[in-house]
Amino acid sequence: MLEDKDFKVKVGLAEMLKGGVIMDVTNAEQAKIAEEAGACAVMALERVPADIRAEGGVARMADPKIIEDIKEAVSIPVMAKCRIGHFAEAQVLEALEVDFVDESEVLTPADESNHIDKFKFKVPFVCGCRNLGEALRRIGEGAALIRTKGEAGSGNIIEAVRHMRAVNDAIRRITTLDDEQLMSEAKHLGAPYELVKYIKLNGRLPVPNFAAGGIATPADASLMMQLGAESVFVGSGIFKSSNPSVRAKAIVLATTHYKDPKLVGEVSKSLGEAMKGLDISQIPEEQLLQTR
Amino acid sequence: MENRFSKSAPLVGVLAIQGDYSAHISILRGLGAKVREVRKSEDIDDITHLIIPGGESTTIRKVAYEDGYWDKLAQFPGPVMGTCMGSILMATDIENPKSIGWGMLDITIKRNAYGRQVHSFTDYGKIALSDEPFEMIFIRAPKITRIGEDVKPIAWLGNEITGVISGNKIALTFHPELSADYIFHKHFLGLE
Repeated sequence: MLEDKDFKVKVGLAEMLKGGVIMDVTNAEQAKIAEEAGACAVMALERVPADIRAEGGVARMADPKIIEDIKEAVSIPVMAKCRIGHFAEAQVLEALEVDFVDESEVLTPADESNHIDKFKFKVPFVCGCRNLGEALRRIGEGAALIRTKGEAGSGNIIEAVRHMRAVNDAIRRITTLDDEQLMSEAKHLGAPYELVKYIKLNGRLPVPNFAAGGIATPADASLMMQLGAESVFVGSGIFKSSNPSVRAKAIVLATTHYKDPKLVGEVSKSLGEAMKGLDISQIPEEQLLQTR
Repeated sequence: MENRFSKSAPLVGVLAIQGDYSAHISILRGLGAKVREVRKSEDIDDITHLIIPGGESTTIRKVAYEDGYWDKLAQFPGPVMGTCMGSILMATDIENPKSIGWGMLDITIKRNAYGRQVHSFTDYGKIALSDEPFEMIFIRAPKITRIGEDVKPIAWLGNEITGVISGNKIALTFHPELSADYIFHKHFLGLE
């Protein structure tokens, strides 16, 4: 599966997105601001997660017209979200020739037990995860890129940190196991055995691992990169802040220079107000997006 | 690891602003080269070689904003190898949209010339360095649409030129860093 030609081409685009920032945008004008700030890709959606959370209702794939406008407006890759398990939305996004599909917990799930069979598609998929078992199940279904789920629209980094640490801790643990223990570990994780073996051999996921869900400041981006994320997705954090273009640029610079605290401090000056954000304990459990 | 370099090992800078720089770095380290991630202007100062990886050229332009950084990259005198986005930045003229590159090689290059990601592909092409077919991975790849007099083709997919050399500058529209054959990196380091 990992040696499959099409899979290699899909993971190839994920590789090209490393070290960058992928920004949620809801129209062509925002997409241009994102590109101008140095985003390496944009994610087209109808409402940013903070608004989905505030307004409620069913959140679906964006209007294809909006996606076309965004594709027209920028030359960087354009991603779009579909609902978990909604392969017909994914088919539409593929027909629209978006560059990546995010099968996302931010939208209202269409299938409560099954994800999309992503090998059936030519377009690559990114999926969220909270732990290694979830990551490997998604890769087993054909995801070419993994991201933490975090808690989208919260402006609170704690969940993304938890998920990134959980994935990396579990990877480190597997590298210390004997070969005899791998099947039992696969069973325990609910993950494909072949992928557990891959991790024992290589000490990393077979696809890139990005951070998402709660990144609102340049220092948040630096934190996630230092914890092992290879890029960051920023959702509500940019266009829910008081000065999107300045904040977007600052987060891009902090992602490239994540190892340079002086520079992260420099770009963090006078950004205006960050999105207000939510304490996770104040979100009622049934409104958490990450458990989808 | 034994040192395969006769005198001092080269210090290879890999532009690490954004893109698949880590793939280049692990190959170079495996070949015994010393590597530096180039993020700031001063990182260029004492490197002997420079690699420009795949990634998004608009992002690189926005981030390499400091005074003189862009020109310092453009005027790097040592050997340079660019893959995909790297080949775009190294060109004289860029199309789609129209802009100006570093002019390291006298070529015109068209961005995203094969179309969007669903048209990305891998295939076997021909290279001047070997008689064996070489796996070429094209990701939203550019096409070389014109080559100047001093520029020599070194890679082809069918009749199409996918790689060129001019002096100590190599530009490839595909991603040898994602293939299992490191012949281009060896050649770049002077190991073959």
